[in-house]
Amino acid sequence: MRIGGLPWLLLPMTVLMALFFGAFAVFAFVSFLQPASGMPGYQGPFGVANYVRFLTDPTALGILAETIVFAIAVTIVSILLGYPLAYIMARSPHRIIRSLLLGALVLTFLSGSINRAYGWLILLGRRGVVNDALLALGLVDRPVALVYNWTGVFIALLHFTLPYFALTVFGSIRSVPAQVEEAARDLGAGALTTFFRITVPITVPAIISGAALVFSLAISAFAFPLLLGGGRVRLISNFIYDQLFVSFNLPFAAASSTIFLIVAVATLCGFFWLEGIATRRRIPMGGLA
Amino acid sequence: MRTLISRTLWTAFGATMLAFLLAPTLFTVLFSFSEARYFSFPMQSYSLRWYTAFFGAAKFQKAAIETGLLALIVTPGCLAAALCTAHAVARWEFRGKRLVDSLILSPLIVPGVVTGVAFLSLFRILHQDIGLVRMSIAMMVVCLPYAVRAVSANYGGVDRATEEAARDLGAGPLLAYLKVTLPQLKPGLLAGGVFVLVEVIDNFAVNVFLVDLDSNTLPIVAYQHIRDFDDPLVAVMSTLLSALTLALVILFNRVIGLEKLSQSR
Amino acid sequence: MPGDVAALELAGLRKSYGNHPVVQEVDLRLPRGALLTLLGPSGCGKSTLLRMIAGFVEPSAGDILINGRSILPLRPERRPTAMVFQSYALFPHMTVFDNVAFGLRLRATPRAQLGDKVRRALALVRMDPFEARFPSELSGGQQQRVALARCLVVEPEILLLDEPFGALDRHLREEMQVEMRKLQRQLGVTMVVVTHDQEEALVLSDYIAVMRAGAIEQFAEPIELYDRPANRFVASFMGVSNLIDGTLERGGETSFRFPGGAALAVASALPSGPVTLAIRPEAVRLCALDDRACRLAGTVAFTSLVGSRLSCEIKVDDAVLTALIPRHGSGPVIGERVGLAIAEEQLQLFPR
Repeated sequence: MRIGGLPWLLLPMTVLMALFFGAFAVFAFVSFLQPASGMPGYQGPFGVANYVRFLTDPTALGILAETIVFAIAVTIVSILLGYPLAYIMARSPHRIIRSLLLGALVLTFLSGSINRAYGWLILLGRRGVVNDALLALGLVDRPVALVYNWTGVFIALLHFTLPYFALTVFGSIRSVPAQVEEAARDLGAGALTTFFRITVPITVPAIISGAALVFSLAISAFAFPLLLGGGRVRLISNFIYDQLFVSFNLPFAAASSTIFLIVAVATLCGFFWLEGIATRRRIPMGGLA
Repeated sequence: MRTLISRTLWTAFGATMLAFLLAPTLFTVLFSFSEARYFSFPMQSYSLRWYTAFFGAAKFQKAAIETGLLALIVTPGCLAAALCTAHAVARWEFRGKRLVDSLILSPLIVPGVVTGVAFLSLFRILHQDIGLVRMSIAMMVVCLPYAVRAVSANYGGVDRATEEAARDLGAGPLLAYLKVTLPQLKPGLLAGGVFVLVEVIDNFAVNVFLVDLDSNTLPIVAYQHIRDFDDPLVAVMSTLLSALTLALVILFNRVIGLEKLSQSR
Repeated sequence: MPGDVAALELAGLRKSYGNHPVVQEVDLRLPRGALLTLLGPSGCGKSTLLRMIAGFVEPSAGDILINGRSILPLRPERRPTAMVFQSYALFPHMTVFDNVAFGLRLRATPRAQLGDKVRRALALVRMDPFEARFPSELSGGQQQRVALARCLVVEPEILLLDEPFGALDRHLREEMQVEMRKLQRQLGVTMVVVTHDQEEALVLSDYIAVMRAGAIEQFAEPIELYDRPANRFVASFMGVSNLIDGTLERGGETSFRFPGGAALAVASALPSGPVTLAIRPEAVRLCALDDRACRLAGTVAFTSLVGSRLSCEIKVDDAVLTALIPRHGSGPVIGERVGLAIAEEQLQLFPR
């Protein structure tokens, strides 16, 4: 049943993971080299020059910082909109509302990112539906710039991350027994108090893991800024892409990716740590998963 | 009175969210039936001319075939690998089980562009220049966590005693697995399959680094088209993909129920 | 049974995981058509024993024989056993009919006979109207009947049942126990049942094997086990709740000395020294202090109603005896001094 100490059924997974980590080994190695002139190749000398360059380049650091701030903003708004959305889906007394929202979320969740970016181009463009509506309502007298800037990227990215957050939290809210909320109401808490003092605290671990998911999706956003940023909005992924396809500098792209990866994994570890604390502090209750 | 206000607020919020979620898709679908090259709302006249144009466009045809091939390779391959892994983790005792658990999930936390650059470096060294091969391998790795999670969640719900009961009633180990365990894993395999399929068809960030000069997937061709042209061809592509997604969602709802989907992810 | 070939024979059966023994030196012989219950607390190895017979656990030593032939070389699917699992383990993706037909199809039963056999097995457990249902559409009791039919239909030499009534509520459990016993008698099938419920064991069994820590403490017929438990553990497990540690003294007459001083004349062949006195609460009667039957005196400490009877805790010096007495009149009052009459033949002493 075993080959070389490992269960043989793990062979396919081991091969795939070996390729994955092998790719990272090569990539880490390349990040210490220099680009060869002309074609996108690389050559010696071996050194940390690429890392030094990234960490001393105000543009690169600025893009990294902007990416993080932007991802935090997307995460916060996703929580603020996604939680009530998930709450309606879990608790609405109307079956139609629940299934309509759930269906819309799943459909959005499964539809492609390029498709959606394109949809937002149609909606938010100068001749788009939103500007038409604003003009018709007399709220503005000239079309507002909604795409090819941060606003457009933000809206599209929010649309991308919202289903992930809502679906993560939805399961958790649903597993809070209705009796727990009823008990709070019974003891004299109003609807709002019950929501903020009972439901939200119980689902904190799910909120944190949903936020971690949204943050990691937002920080790695690539297609949305590419299509809706119009060259003006560049996140770290776009910066790395440009290093490769504009500057043909694979070693520097690799070094930038490594730094980006470290930042991304470090923030995620922070989220997991928070989630661990929140889970441990929660009183074990039957039926809560 | 207060409940009426709060109910109205909740309803308004729900309706706004519904509109927000569905608007891009709805207007893309609408635009795909446009007569005009440029979008205007309400639309002057409707036609299928962009559909004719889409199906006549060689680059979209080629990309559709390439994407289809990729999906045909990656979906079964990934599910098979996931089934093996999930079985070993669920049914066998071995050292390093927890390590396997977390290793599997690692491709999830690496940003797409980073994975793309890493695989590009690897394939440079291996002198692997064929886009389809490069993308197949990368997509198998990227999709493995989704598939393993879906199948593993399902394994947890399968009573191991059912397989033993089959053995007890006279079935050999393989027959017991095929007749009793595997059919019970259908929901997990289906969920995993949907995730993998959607990811393969949609992936842009990884594949954009791995395509070769004459192989492009649909999202990449769509991106190039949007960059260079201003017409509803991509709206047509989006509409067709949305229809495929809708079909998958309906199939999923029939077989398993949508609420399970959020649990297995 | 001597001379006869036993339907099931376990010979020196042992199982250990590493250094941890789970089943040790189990020997027993079961005649054809008998129902044996493996009774014991959880973790006593009874389920492991059952799974060894079914073939899911490989013994570390010893042999298992069915009709005189060792079945150890046989894989589970080749053994002439069928098992009703604790969870029933019905195949959720198959109808009741297909569940029951599963074993027959593997035995290449001709199509013409298949339907007949399945329906007959379902009729036996009164589940014939449900053949098109899926397991999820059945109640717990119905699922159990289907699991039973699924095993009966393949006509096993030995039918194994792992805690078959564990998941049922009390009322249904009692009903199913009687039904199972009748069915077993009717079909004459040899059965091994695992349970931790002593009442269930008494209702069902021809033989009971009480297990503790992987070993059989006592193998006997139910009546003998009930009346003459072999040791303190079996006595306690069989519901003898009065177990009092004291001393056996042999002077002019043999007596049991309670902790605190009171003495009770007993007949025993045991040597003097520390012993445990065991007596069922039903065998303790209350009487007047001056009654001739009075053997001990004590103070009523607590009373509670148990159906038609009254349970009284009587403090005898430092020990407490429970008496289960018929309820009439106002009954004893807490704090009252009462006499205790104890049926000599129902009293047992175990060495400590």
